[in-house]
Amino acid sequence: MSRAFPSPRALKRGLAAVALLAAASLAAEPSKSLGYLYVDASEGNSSGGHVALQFDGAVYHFQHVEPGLIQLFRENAGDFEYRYRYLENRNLEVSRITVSEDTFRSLRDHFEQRYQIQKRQFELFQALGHEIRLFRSLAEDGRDSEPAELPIPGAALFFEPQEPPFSANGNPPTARSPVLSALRQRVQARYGKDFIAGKIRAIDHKLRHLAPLRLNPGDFDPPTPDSVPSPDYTYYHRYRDLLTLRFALQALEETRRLRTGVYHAPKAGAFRLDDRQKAVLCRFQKTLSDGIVELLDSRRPDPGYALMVQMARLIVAARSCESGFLVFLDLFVDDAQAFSLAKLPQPPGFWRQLAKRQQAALQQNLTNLPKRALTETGYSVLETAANRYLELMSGITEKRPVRLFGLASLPDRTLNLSHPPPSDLSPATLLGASRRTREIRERYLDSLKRFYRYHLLSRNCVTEIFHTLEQGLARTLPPSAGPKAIREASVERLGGYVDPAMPNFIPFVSSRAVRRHYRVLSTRRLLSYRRERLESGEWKGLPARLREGNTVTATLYQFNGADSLFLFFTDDVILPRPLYGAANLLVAVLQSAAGLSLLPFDHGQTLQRGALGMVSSAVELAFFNIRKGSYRYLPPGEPGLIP
Amino acid sequence: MNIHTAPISKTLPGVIAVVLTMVLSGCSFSDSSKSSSQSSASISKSISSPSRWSSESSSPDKEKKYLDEVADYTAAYVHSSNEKMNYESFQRGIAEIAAKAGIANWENNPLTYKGIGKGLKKAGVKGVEYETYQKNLSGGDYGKMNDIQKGYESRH
Repeated sequence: MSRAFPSPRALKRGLAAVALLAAASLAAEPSKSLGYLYVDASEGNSSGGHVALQFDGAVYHFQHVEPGLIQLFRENAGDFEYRYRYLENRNLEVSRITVSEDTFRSLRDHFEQRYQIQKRQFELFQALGHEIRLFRSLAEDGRDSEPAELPIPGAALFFEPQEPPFSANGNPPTARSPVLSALRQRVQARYGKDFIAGKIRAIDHKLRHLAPLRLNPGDFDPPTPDSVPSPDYTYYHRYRDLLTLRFALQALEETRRLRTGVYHAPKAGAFRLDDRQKAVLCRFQKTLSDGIVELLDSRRPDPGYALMVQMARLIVAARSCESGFLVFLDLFVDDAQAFSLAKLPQPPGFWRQLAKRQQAALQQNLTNLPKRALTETGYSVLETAANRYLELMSGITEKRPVRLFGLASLPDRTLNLSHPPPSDLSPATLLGASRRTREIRERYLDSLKRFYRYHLLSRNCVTEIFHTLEQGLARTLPPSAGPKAIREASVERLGGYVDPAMPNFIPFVSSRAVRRHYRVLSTRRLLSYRRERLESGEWKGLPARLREGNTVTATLYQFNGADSLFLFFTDDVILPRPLYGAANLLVAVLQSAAGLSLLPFDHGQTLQRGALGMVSSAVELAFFNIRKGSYRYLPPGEPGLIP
Repeated sequence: MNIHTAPISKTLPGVIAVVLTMVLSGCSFSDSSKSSSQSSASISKSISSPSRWSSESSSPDKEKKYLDEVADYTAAYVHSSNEKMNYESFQRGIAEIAAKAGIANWENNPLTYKGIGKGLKKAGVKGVEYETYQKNLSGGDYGKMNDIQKGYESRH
């Protein structure tokens, strides 16, 4: 292990004194805890284990992203636990580190800042990629072999995907929405009769003549990891925002109806509104209508999506007000995955119980509708509850697959426009712009690689947690503070120092280092879903153990296409592990052999799974375990990551 | 004293096993990076996972979270923008945060401006610089400027 810190005994004694003083002062001031989370190894993604840092309800962790970079992500603690402990069936180990409130706030703010900045930096990289394709598509004017696929969020609320775009000049639909007709009249009264049509013409003109930004590759060089290039509102963003606004204005100008399937109007008793609830939604129409009129004159660059959502909400709120039943938009994302409930291993009656709870949540939201003005957030909470209950209840009664993932807070309904409207710029100008953006993107990627190149040993999910902690501690010190001062600050504020170099870059070793050297108040092991169920009374006893110990007779596990084939679980046994591993290895060899013969048909997927299975089984021969078996869906259990 | 040197001799077999498996896949791989087009396809793709089927946030919780997220975002934006702030890009970021709270028309929501004020305070913006941000971010609207001021003066 390499450790550059010069640590003579005298220095250690000095640091010990600092630590004692710090502990004494900590006892006098209010304290908080931050959690160091270690996620057990498993097959496939992060097979060597994973680590994260928890600040209250937020979990920060580094993930490997394309192309060969590492990025900081923030997740809700419940979602993080659900993914790793439930779906991926891994054990979690939570070490609670006691820190002062000041240290907690300072470190949290630093992680949050790093997260926000990296998010913008990486999004800019993606946008430049889209921009290259957009320029090429504009240059080829619809003749391109690879269409640009320009996503227009919200447009599919009003426009059919196959509908020829920009029909304002062609054949508008004959069926009109009376709600949007009234809104259009209001807009015309406020801004003038030709306001909407004039805006559409102005946008069409802008889109035809929108010139590439005059940028130099150097404009995109972030001088430090803390800065984001200022031209990050790119040509791609500008073009897409204009086009989205164009769709919104067209929907209003043509007073379009909502498309079938983008909203729900159930007549079941759970959706009936009493007089007070009805009145609240009737008043909400006015709030929406006022907001839309203001939004049409907004300075924000992207009002198009907001306009379409608000117009759609206005239509369904009006329907609720008229009918006395809650009418609401479908909030599931377009590619939400649906599951056949009969194929998910849940006890009898489970889904009906869950549906009852969702119904109760919906009723509570309706009862709690405020007497005063309903806010957008309040309406969104109601919309979400209605979506959940309807999706589950109708899935149960109609025996159709249910969307258990992918519920958003606003409707998605993205229309992917394969060919953007033609540009008046010459193909040479557009292709030149495409080439220049490519050069800018390549140079920008080099900058990102300087700061974020993923490296298995020196820049991975563990090392970056500790490096970011060190940067956060450095913020509490004078700018001239060197590594020694940062280490002393670590001792003072966290109780010790952990060097992220060898061997601490390995997730489970780092967790042990944290337990030994930071001021850890407690360490809690949260068992994986399967092991937690096995520890509960229902599955205790030898017969149940034997039944659940293999994938053929297990009731707690169903083979999931994401796992390699295996016969025995080895994560909850030690002595028979090599024996079980040998059987698993045989299964993996057979799967690999089958994969070889299937190679021309499945692009090597079976072979890849088999090879992965062979590695997972081989380590079992040496008493180690990686594979746990994963799940496509599980109901959430008791949350363990309670701050 | 807690300056750590891991006893590598004790951990060697585990280290070998884990290094072997890390070589296979390394750190957790982000799903969002597998399809870069998806992440920018829609500003509204702030998806709630089934972990929230049993504990959805209430409206006040969501509003508090929204205000805090706007504050964090503003502070980070100011910190990373050096001399010039790109207001268009800033506003797109606000729209993304608002979408997670179910808010489409964030300009109409006082919490947005209170969050911005709180974020400016957090970023240590003062004096003339603060007044310039306050004026530009509110578009000179008196009510919005007042909300920014309220957020700036709030304690938490």
